Amino acid sequence: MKVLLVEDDADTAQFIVHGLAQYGDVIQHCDNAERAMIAASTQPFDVIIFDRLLPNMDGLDAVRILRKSNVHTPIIMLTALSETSDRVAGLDAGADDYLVKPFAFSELYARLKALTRRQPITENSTELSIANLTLERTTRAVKRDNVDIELMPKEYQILEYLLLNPKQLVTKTMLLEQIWGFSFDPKTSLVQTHVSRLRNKIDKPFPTELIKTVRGCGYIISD
Amino acid sequence: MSLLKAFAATPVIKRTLVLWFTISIIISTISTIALQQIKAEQVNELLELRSDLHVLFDEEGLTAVLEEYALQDYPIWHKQESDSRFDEEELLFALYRDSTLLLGSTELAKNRSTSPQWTVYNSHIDEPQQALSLYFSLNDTYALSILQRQDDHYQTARALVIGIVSWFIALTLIPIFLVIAIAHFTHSQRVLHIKHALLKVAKSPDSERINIDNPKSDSLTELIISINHMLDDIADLHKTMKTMSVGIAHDLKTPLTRVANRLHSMQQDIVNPDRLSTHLEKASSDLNSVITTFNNLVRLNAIESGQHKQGFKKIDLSALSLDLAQSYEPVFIDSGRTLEISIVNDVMCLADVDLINQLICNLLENALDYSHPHAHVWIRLQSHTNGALLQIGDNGPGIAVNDRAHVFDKFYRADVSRAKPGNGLGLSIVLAICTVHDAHIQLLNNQKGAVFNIELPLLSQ
Repeated sequence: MKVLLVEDDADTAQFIVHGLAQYGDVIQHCDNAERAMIAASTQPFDVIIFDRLLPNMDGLDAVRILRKSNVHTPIIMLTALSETSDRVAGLDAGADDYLVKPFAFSELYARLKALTRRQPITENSTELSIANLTLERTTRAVKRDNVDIELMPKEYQILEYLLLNPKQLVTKTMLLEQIWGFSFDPKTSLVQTHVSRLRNKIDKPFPTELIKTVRGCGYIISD
Repeated sequence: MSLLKAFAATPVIKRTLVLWFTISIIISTISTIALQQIKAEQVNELLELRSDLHVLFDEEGLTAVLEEYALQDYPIWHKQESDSRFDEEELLFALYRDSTLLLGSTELAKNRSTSPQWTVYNSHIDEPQQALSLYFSLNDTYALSILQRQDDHYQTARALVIGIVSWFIALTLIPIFLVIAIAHFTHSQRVLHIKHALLKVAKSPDSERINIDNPKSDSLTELIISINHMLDDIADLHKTMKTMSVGIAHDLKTPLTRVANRLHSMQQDIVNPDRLSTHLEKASSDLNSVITTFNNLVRLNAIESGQHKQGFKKIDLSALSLDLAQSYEPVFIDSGRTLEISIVNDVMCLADVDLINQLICNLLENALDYSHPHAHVWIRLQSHTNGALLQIGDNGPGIAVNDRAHVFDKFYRADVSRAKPGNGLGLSIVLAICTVHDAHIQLLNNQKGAVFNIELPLLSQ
């Protein structure tokens, strides 16, 4: 991935640059909005990480200007403001995702991957599949090895989201946001319980396991 | 002056002063009217005299008029004679023929008013006297001027009225000033009492309060009551702050100590990668719990600030709580408990979806954490005429009586050991969410377990 990082705090920037370098991604770092906007509109990037509180300019305005000048690169905003209204404001301005500081690197990376993988083809395709598991989005039918599997609504939604981001880490927080619409973190094992029930239905009766747990982070669906 | 104003404002003195002014005004009005009456009478008498003289002149001629008033003896009276006459007879005359003084006083030349008029007569014998003057023609040739001293009745009455009014003023003003002085004294004594009491409060703000020194309710008593209320509120706030800082300190100390210990262990296990990764994982989870505590504090503050009110929308509370309850049902079943869901349809209210989600989650999680392992937990939603009633409860063991009053306090935890997960902010957040929605939350008494009733205002159709 080619990533543009806009972050004025040197420590946070180093933390992200260092983390991304480990995965072999190309990263360009700008510490102010003006330089970032020039870079974003002249070079192709796969994804932009935009800090919301920048010197001289609100990140929100910068994103708004970028979108107006036809830059459609996926943008994830970083911010210390955690309220739903701030989140909504960020998404309204044209950002694609919103991550509250402090965050774990794995969380940021999972979201970057989800953003760069969000291809129109997978978003709109009616059938999602991995290995011998298929999910028919129009009829909500799930089959593995041609065996019909009955899923509860939340289990279905989790599976669909995992299949939209195959072979990628999907964090617990991402599932809470996407499936339940929560902006807070309930302390119990809400996500774990539903994932474990989903696994009992799609993995347990079969020899290979499709949903893998990444300890302390989230889940990956892969064959 | 401002002090006097302040006293005039105290009810007793105000009433006394108003009464006093009213009485004074009534007395002076009545006396003035009475005195005017006496004056008017004299004017009438003088006018009668004029018509009598006219009749006498017309019927019996000038001589009769002169005889009547014995004017022939000393034809012209100069100043001295006029003065003694005025003093004896209380009356001066002057008779003019073709505007020339024929008989009588020289002192009446100025008086040419043809209607009775009050003037002042300057006599050498006495002090200046009030007198009534009148000038009239007897026929084309003769004219008469009369100056009559003010009636004795009037003088007596006037003196009497002045006497009464002065005595009234003197006798009433003294007690009024006494009352004001006493009030002033007691007032400053009471202010002094409040001042001393406040100094004591400053030394021990939690226990010391201002005594109410006057059983009757007046402005100072009300002030004392308000100050005491304010002190109670501040003491409560102070106590909450104390609990909070203790809570924050405790909730930070434990995980941070563990991290410190981990770092120490890492030094020892520096050559053992397996152990190192366990240490790192544990340390990071401990630090995450610190971050969670702070996130909850920040969120609690945000909710309490009321900023969510702008984002209120019409929401289907039935659908939302059913979805959440169904999401949590497997979690309850996996933990060995049961969750009974009883939700009526189409309960709408004006709310922030995210906050209502958290409200229900926190209460359900509370039930998960603190009910016994095989507890029966329920979530019920009913619609009443005056609002929606959401009930989330369990059948035991419930919250100890001593802890009931504090369950919504920040960082308050019923288990002193703090062995269970959580940071004592869950129910504080619940209360803050209820407050911002104008909802009323209650922990029911006499239940086997913890049962919370939340009454939400319904959306008016």
